[in-house]
Amino acid sequence: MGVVNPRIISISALYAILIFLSLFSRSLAELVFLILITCILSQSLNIIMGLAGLVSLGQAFFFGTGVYMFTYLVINEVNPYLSIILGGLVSAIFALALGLVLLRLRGVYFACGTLVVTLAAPYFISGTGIVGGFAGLNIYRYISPFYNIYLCLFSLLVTSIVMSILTIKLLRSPFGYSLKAIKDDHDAAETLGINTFRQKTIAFCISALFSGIAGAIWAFKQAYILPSIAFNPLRSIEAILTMLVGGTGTVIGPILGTIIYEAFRDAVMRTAPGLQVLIFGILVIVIVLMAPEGLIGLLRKRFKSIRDKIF
Amino acid sequence: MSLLLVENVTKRFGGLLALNNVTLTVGEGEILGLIGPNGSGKTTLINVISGVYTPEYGRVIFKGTDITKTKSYQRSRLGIARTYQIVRVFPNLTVFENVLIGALNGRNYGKIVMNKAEERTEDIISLVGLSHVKDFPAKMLNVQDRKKVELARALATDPDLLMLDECLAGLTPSEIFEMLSIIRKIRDERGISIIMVEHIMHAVMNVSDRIVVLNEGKKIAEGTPKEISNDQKVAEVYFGDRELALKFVRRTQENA
Amino acid sequence: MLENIASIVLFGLFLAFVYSLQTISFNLVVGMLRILNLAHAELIVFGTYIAYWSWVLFNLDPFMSLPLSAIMGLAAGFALYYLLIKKLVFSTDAALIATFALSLVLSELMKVLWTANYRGISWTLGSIRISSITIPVTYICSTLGSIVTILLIYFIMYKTYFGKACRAVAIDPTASAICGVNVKKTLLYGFVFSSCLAFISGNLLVVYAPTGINPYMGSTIIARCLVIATLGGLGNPWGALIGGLIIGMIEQIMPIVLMAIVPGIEPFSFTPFIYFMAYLLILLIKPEGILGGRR
Repeated sequence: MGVVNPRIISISALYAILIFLSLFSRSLAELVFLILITCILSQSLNIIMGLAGLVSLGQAFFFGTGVYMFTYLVINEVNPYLSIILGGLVSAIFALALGLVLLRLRGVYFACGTLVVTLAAPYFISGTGIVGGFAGLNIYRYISPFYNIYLCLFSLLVTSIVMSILTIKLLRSPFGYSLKAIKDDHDAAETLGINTFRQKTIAFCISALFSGIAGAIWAFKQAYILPSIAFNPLRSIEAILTMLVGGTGTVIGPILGTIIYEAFRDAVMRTAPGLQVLIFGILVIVIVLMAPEGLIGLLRKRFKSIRDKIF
Repeated sequence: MSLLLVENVTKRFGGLLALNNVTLTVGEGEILGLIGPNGSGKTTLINVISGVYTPEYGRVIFKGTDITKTKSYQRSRLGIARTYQIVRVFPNLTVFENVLIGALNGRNYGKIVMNKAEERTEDIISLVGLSHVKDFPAKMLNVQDRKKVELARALATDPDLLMLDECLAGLTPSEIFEMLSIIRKIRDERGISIIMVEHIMHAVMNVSDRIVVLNEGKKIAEGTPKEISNDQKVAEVYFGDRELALKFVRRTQENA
Repeated sequence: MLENIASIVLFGLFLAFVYSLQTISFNLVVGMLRILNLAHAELIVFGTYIAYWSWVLFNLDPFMSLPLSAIMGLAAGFALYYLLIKKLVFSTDAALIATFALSLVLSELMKVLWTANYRGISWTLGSIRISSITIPVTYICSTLGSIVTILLIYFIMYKTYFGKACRAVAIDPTASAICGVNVKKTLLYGFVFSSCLAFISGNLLVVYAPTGINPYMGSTIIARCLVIATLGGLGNPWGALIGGLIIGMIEQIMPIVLMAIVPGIEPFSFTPFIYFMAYLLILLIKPEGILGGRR
């Protein structure tokens, strides 16, 4: 690595393209918005799954928690921008509570736990009827004084860039190394003096924090919330898909994966509306079976000379 | 005062008594050989000392503090390191990263900056002689090198006590010779106490200051290598009843 | 009051066997192939749809359509095994992601094929009255069907060569291979068997969902399966009986308790949330389940 880090250049270039696109037209701005949402989810999944090796099927849960916390605060007339941060924090607290139970156990319990919470959450909302309950809630009148798509985009962009920087820092930090060690051999990591439970819990909380922020910003922009959309398990699979496409455990992987995915989704939406979920589910299965290391893994094999410089 | 004191430790797995009232000590800078037939409880003892198992009865005292109930990672931070019988390197990380993780954790946890840890890693990698493969993923190495990675990683945690669980098994004679010289160097240059679990008798006899023999979870002998090699009980455990063995030898000679 | 309790226990028991059957078939795959088939619930829903369509199109009642479901289950099992599951055997993480994606694909496929409308059949055979408790005969039929199927599974697992091979593979695939069990074949038939059972249990479920058949109902079923399986011991088919019993009872009692305690709550949409709490509670107290893991 020289004075100018090629990895940082390539990531900055991707972000620059996104910003440029969003200024081009309103519809492109909407697309960039979706890209950034998925990108943050994918990057947050990357921390818990790509680095620490824990399969999480619950990014949608933390996303939804962010959505609902944001809504709850906003209808109680809290400043939306503060609510975004608080939404993320509450998601992180949920992750802490969940992690205390699930991360003590080995095996599939963590993945199952995250899935079960995601599936149960909408029932909790409908059953108790809080924040609009089953029928959802329109919050436009609460947020309209602050509403501006470019401000939403900007806050998303900041969050996403913060995540990228965080991931870069993590990869070369003691904490990041301990997560990688846990991924490769849990017991050996423990005997080396790594408090595996604590490290996993922290990683899980960071991951949930950013998913929650993404959810809160999403709610800000949509201004209409529904339990089945906020906690849609599809979002978890989107995060997994984009991370796998780009390459797990890398900085640029989730960003690249998301851009490819959203472009592809846009095309599918135009040609075969209603079949997207079907197509993406099949895509995930194919990638898991054929290229578990993702697109970057394939590229790495192809162009060995540049692999360390960019990825 | 001894560095490690294992006092009356008893550990059972269901009906099996894996360790039966075992007491042993390890002095500072001492190499202790731990031998015994298969299933005699050697690895269980290592697991009790490193914190994988908690004994039903007895205490483990390290540097004067009782660590019987301390968690495994905390013991590492106190200065106990180990290797595994079946090598457990981090397969997808490079040799350098493997050792670096050791350097960042263990006793130096939270006290070492990245640059220092990297320097330390380089030192240890050259000590065990892996400099030429340090950027390779650990899964690409052969058995001997992987054992060395594990050793280096344990060493990087800056331990006072290092437990090597059959680190010579599966190596060729020349590799064993090299490993032994590394082990001796670790003790001589760094003053680290070592517990060696080993089956290769000439190696243990050669390198240990003192030897403890376990059989069916019980300590049956303890002493210098010389004393152990002349011990009646040890010979029985390894070769069966001496008289019976002699009788058998005689009979085969007669038949021939 | 006493009659209320009796009816709760009775309907709890009815549900228990239906849930147990679902979870036993789920646990078979967990135990043998070492993968959590998160798409299992969608197989059950397929079975429910078969019962529905046989009723609507051919006027076959859910009992008459059982063989059809079983055959379709076998076919689906073979197809899925060769397309996907074969490559996932024993690979925990990849299997989780892939079967989760598969569950979305299958539910989406059902939506594309049969729209997202809520459907149901109006199959009635009258009802039996015991003092003031009214029991629809269809419930009895469905539960009896579940019990017979569970007994059949027991018979197959313990009395036939195939069942013994299955149990051997569940305990140790390598050792069974050494003893002459054709592990690959056993895994294949084990999965097909589980898929067939899933379809059958889906078919029996139709009477309990008079208006609730829709492509997305699998999410509740899989959550319930996971809870029951964990409760009884993940991968242990017979733990599912105990787990099913507990969850069946909870499901009957909870709405009444909830309505009494929390005013303004919608108890029936809240119940699935109880599963989640139960799940976390089990993991906190006894993660290996009541009967312990794989058998």
